[in-house]
Amino acid sequence: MTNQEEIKTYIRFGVHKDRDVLQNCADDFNGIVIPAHILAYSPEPTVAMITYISKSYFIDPMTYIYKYNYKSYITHDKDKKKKFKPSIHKLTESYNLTDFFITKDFAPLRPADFTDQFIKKLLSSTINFQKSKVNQTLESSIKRYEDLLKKINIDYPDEAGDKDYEPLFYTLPYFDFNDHKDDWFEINKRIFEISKANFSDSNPVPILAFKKSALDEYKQILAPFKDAPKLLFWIDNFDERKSDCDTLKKYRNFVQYAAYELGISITNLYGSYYSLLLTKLGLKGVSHGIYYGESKSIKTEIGGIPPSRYYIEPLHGFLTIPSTIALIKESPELLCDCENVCKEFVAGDIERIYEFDKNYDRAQRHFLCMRQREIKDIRDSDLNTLFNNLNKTYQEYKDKVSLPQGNTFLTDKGIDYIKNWSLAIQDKCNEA
Amino acid sequence: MKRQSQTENQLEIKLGKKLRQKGLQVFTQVRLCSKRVDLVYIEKRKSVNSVELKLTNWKEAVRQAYLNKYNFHKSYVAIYANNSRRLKPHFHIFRKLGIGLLFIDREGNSTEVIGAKYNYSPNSIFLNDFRNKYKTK
Repeated sequence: MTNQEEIKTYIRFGVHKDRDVLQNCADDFNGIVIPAHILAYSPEPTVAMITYISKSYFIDPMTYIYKYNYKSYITHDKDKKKKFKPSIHKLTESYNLTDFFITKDFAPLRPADFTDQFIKKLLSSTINFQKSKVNQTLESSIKRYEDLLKKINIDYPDEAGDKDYEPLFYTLPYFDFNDHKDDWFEINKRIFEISKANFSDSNPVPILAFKKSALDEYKQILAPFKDAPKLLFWIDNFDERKSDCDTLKKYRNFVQYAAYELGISITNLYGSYYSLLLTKLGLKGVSHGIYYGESKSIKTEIGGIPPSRYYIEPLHGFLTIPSTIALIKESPELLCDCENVCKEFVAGDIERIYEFDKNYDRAQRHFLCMRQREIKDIRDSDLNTLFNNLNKTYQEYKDKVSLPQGNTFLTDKGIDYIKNWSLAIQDKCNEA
Repeated sequence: MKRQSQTENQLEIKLGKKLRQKGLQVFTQVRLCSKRVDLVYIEKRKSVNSVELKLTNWKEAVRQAYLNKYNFHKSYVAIYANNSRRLKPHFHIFRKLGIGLLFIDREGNSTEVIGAKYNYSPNSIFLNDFRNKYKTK
């Protein structure tokens, strides 16, 4: 990647209360990832967000959830009949799978369910949903607005509502797998093959969701998808801050092989600063939530928001609010003065960081501003400089976060992740 | 694990009771952002102090007490006295960090083994919230 090439960052839409932050910070990211169950369940506010934020978007079809049988996904109606919880129920309706699951008594999908006929049906319904849901919702909203205006004798402006809100690209239904011998891997392959034969005009993008251990066999995993111009991936429960150097290197190798050997444009659906660094080594884009979602376990049941926390840009990580206050009291140079939030809201008073606990949206806006700062820094620097900066930061702060009894006052292993990141890219610095 | 947390809880209740008997205002499981402080008590001169109570895991207690010390006037770790012997070689850590150490017996009586350093500038925003929420005297 050349220094001036754009790093694509996509924000994963999580909860509707984030809409204002996304609107206010729309300049800080390239596009939005819309989970299909959110669009299916609350189409109007989701589509309203897409229109007023005016950013490109794509839809995560969320099909992997049908592999699982979590208690929270199933509920019972008044007659004690099973049904999916509302958002999954709506998604299932949108994919025309309601009768299918009723017949199965809501048992999770099994590889044996995936006949070619079923795959074609699934492809058709998921791609149609992505093609039509936003524009259909928009048309129906406009129609209601037009009717309302007619009642008070006002003409609907001709030019309004003409804009087409097509997704940036369509995505294929996907199911997580353990390794290339897993039946679910075969199903993802088959889905891709059938899409090429039957849905080539839509050019849908495959999504690979797999266990960390599958990074050992990245060539086998990528081989069937070498014709895909684009590919999205999700490494299950892969927290870049908790991963050892060896795993980080395997991830780097996966990225480089896909980008440079196979020529695929690849984007990580759940990544943090380390993924941003890998844009120097072939990664095209990174997605994450605002404030959360820099890693995700496939077994995480959908829904819920994390506790308030604060992003420390020089450390490229989130800290709890009490940890932030403790760290900045000892290292005041870390006090942020970003124009978005901190310059006015914190105004140099460390105690005011406590207020972020009750001002979630401000902490989110601060994070997006910091993320943009990181992206700019990566874009404007070479890999050697970034590597040196990581080392310098680690040396400067490793003792400042340590306590005399051997642990740190931060969670987990303090800032060892910074050292691991630098070690994981070290041998690529001179090549880049 | 469950048994241990119940005992910690029992010890917390007993310590709270003893402190109340001394005329102090006591609050348990006080929210400090995403974490909970085991016990907070207010001394007569309005000093608001925190206590992190652990049966054995003193290192984790020190970690939590370290975060508390920036928000309260005094920050203590309380350890069950029966498990206190092996802590002696580490007393210097408490002194270095300005964190006090209490030993608690099975009845909840506390002995201050190391005094906590007084923080003259605790987090006033947090303490105002705390006073408003708990309607302290």
